Amino acid sequence: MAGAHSAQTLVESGLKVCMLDVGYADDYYKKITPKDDFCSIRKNNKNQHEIFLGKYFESIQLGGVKIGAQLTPGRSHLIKDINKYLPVVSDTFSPYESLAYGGLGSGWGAGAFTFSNPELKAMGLDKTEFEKAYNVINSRIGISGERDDSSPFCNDKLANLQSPVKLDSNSSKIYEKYLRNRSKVNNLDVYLGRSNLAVLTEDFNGREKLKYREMSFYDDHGESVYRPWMTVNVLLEKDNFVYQPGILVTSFSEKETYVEVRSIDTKTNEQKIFKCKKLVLASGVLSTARIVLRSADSHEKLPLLCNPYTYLPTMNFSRIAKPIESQRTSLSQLFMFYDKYRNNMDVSTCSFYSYRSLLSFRIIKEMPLAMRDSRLLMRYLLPALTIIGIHHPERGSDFKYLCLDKDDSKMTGDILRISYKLSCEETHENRSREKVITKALFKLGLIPLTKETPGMGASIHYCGTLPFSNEERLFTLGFDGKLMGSKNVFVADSSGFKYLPSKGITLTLMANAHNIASKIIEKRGFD
Amino acid sequence: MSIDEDRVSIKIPSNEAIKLASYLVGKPIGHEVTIRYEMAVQIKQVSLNSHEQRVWNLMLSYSLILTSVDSYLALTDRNCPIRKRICIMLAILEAHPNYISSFYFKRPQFIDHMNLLFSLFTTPFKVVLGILIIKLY
Repeated sequence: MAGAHSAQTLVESGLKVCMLDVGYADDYYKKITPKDDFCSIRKNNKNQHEIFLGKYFESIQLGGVKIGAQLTPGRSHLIKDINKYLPVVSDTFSPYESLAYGGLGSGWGAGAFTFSNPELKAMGLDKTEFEKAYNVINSRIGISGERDDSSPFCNDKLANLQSPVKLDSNSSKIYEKYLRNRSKVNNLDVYLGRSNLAVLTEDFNGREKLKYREMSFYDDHGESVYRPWMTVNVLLEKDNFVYQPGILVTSFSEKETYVEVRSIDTKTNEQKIFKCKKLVLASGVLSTARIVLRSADSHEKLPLLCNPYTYLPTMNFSRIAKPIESQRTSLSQLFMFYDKYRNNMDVSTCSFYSYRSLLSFRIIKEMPLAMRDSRLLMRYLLPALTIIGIHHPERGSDFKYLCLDKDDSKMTGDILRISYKLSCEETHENRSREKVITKALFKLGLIPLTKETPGMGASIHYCGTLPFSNEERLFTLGFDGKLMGSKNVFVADSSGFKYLPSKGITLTLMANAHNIASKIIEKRGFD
Repeated sequence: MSIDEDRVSIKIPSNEAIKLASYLVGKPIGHEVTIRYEMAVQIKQVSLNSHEQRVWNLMLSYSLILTSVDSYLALTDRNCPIRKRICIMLAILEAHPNYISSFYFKRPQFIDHMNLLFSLFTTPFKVVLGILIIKLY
């Protein structure tokens, strides 16, 4: 996300940009997945097992619920070679990283949230800059949503919105119930609204509006759901942009007039060196930390932030055994916010998903009944099943950090060690928030069946390793994104954010990348 | 993802896929589903130890024992190899157009309600039988 949007801003200003990327892409599933909707594929496609389970059954995840359990075959390239090139050791944190073309954004749920002024301030970001930047990104990617009770929490800084995605019958029931019981729910400081998504409901920039195929977790046909590779594809047509795939950047060193970038060619595993006038790191928080620590040959502990994440499979009883429409979206259709302090700060966020396209077996294997009995029951429950993903806000502490340890057995000669522990107070706070959220869900007619906490790292929202700072301190960033102690190295991803709101970070990540690139352009002293 | 070249070959009884499909959806399966199941078990390397293998053989011989042990394991050891094998077959059946009606229905019929109620009401008995089989066999 950050790489694509910083590159776009730089390229549009006329600068010459070279993007170094490993860039794994899916060549197989894209070809075998038809443009039909989910129901048509289910009814007619004889080879659907490859689409839904994978050529090597990689989507049948046996064992307990793990991070990435929802990863479909068409997205499995997102985590290709992660253990080889981006090794991590941790007992307390299971991160999600990607070497894919377009990065982790290829698996993004498309939730697009603007942050409130108190949130931006706590993150170390300027509200005026971000009001502009959010709209620049909106004009690039297209965002759909509604002005409703959720607006202060997700879209009040966006000038234009496409109309929201159509609600399916399950989400409609929930939303209708909210409108009927609004004051009771609001009394809990909980607000519900239509989802704000980077999904087109009108044709836009050569991309098609959403066709409600319910295949968004599997393919990108029609390009209605924004993915960063779409931006890179557009940039590839520009004369001042060069894309260098198969390159894993490992470290850099600053010379008198240029920056030397060291890398591994992933096809040959040989080292390659590139030279540039300015280096913009946008590799994702963990990989950027690796590159910076490796370049400084440092074992320093860097802070890390990640949203605590829980999900609740819930039952909308009014929908049990009801028919499901054939055309709908698998993306979140409703957002809910718990504004505990009534100041749009430290808000907890819930995303509602109607479940079907990821198939029933993933749920059935977790049910406390024989699989045959669970299957019989699941036919009744599926139309009513609503998955609620809950994210909590997060601040740093001494118990949340990463560092780079030497390990000669690894390709890069090191391994990222992560320790992440919530304090008792933090855990208690999150539980008490979940109790209030559960109360609100009851008022919406949703009965939680169980609570799954997949462990830290599961939210896939990371930040804070190189916090923004006014001081000239190593391993911090200036407010222009410049790495302290360097002259020409900038960081455009979320490494600088000092606070992590619960709302999805992705839109702000893109806006920040645009801002950093704009500041580089403003201050540039080179051709 | 590619198949792990170090994997060991797992012996799968010839009637295993047919029995499992019959248990899960009550329908016959074609050769392609059998092949697919056996391939998935090999790729996923779901092997059974000697005790599990004995119980498994018994389960495949009697459908009441199959559902009873499955009911018991669903409560006590949801992710054990026996359940993993059943789960593999369930996933393969779900991702096949011939069995779509076993996973969704347009409108449930009276027989569907009865079928579900019978399955749920007999669960405690199945669990008890499952305990006895696992502990004694």
